[in-house]
Amino acid sequence: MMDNRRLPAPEKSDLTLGYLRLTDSAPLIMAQELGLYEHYGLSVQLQQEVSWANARDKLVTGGLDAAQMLAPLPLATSLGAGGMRADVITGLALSLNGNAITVSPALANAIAARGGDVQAGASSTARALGAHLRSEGSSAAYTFATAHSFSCHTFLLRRWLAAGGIDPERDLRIIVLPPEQMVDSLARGVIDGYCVGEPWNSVAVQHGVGMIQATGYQVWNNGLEKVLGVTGEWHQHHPSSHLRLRLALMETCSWLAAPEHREQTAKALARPQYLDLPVSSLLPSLSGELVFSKGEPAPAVLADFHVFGRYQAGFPWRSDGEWLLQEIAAVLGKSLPTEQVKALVQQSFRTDLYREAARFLQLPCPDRDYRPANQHAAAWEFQPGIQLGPDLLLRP
Amino acid sequence: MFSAGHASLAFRHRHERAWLTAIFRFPVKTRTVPRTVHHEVDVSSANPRGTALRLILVDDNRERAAVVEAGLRQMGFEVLSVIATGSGLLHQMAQHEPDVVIIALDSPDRDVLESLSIASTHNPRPVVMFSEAGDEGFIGDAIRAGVTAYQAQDISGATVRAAIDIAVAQFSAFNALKLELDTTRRQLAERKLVEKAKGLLMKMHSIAEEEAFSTLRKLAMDKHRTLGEVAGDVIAILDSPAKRGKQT
Repeated sequence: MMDNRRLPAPEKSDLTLGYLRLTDSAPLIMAQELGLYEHYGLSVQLQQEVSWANARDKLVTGGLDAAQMLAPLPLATSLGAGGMRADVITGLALSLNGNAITVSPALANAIAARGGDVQAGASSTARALGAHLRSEGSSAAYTFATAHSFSCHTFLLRRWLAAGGIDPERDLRIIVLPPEQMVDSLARGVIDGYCVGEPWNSVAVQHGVGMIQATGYQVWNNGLEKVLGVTGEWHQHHPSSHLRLRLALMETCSWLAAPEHREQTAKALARPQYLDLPVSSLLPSLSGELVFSKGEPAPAVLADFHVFGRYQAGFPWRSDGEWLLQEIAAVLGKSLPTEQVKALVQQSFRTDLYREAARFLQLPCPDRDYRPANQHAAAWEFQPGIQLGPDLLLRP
Repeated sequence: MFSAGHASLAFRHRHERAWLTAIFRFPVKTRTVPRTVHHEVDVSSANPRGTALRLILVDDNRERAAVVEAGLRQMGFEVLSVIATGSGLLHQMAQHEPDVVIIALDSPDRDVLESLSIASTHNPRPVVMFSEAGDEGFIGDAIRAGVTAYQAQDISGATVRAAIDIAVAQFSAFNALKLELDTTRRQLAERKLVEKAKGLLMKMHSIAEEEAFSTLRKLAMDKHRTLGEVAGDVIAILDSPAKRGKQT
């Protein structure tokens, strides 16, 4: 732990942070539990938000100092897509991966009947779903849900469907539902499947109302998932508070990288003041032992299901930002000029702020802002001392 | 608590910032009765068809929703349904096709509403947000940012009326503007296509401009299609690489 006396005084020490009821809120919550905000001279109030729209609007209007955000949201907000337009930046990613695609038992059976097996990979289940849809012709009208239009959930689901030769615009319907409504909507037959963050896949599996067909990791290895968002204006007025906040969260993420800390994390997150859920719902993804369908003999061991600390997880890669922005454009049905994409990502994904914090913690960090995509099937060395994880993308 | 004065502040600021925040666009199946948008602030609670404005109220807090609903009815609005999160906002929107959606600030369905604005530009609807007392700061800032909002505690008379009127007016103004822009864009694109198709026909058949144009117009009339569509077809046929290859 660094000696914080070297840091400039915080412009504001009482901060309010917004987060959603998701397992990958762990960094924000555990920083509180471990006293790391306090260590950096901050008094933090954690505030649970019910929608990403609310978190964004409160951030922009000053009700929140900083917020957990879906990685595409700072970009979508800076672009003004969907709601309020404002300059939102991030200098720290909070997690990689953490999502899965779950379908109803009926659809899971249809997928299995056509040879789809999640253990064999995401393309196996995607192809089987595609074959099933084509066999039923145009009479099949399936509805899938994601948690937000501009989320990795949407992008992962679209990519998974594409791998099965399914057109996400024509062959089925994708709607948006709040994460907490996913399980119930699946059980009631309102939707046939969804892509969402944990624990909402494991909860469906545990209740026997859903079966996991793909993990987000299988679709995009180590994809950027949540980031710490602040407005450009807030950062300008509170550079030191922002730095201290990033330092506290970076230390928490390093702590979360150790598998032996995950059970303690699940227990803390489960408490009424945080996620208010059974530990058993949070533990599968946090321990990396995911059960794909109820009654399975043994869970799948997925050490990288949630990545908080390893593989330079906190670095807001501009290459990832550009990919996310292009996916946002695809959802909007338009293409953005390359210069606009580059400019917007440079303004929003502040690698300089990550490096500033890494220097204080004397951590090595990438000296380039772009990483290759879809080239490594195993962990690899980006530069001396910098190990990155696999980066494969599911082929369409 | 916001008076009508505060509400008109939002109206005044609408050109300055992201005032469209509250004005989402919803894809709804084509309805049989054509809907027209009006350009002026409507001071009555009537929609362009002359009937009462039809609302959907989205709120998880039943008690509060009941109070708000009663207030809205008293003011002459037609409340089509009051729904809580998870009761199928999407379905209700498609079924009822409300004139305005009124949603609680703390409803998880806000992301759902926003997704509708992103998914399609067809048959949009204005949205009004409301909140409990205690969110004054946020609501105030939201209004400054262009969101039309009011508080549940003050549902009597002028405030809600003003909020809804402003939402409808902002929305209509935006919609009219957007429609105008779309039309202009389409006309421009169409004119370009027609010019190009004319040029190709003139070159291919060594005919005068007038004859080329009447050929296009005849094609359009025969096929019951627009001039732009026919021009596009002509370009696709005459200007294809294969065709060009043959010509040289």
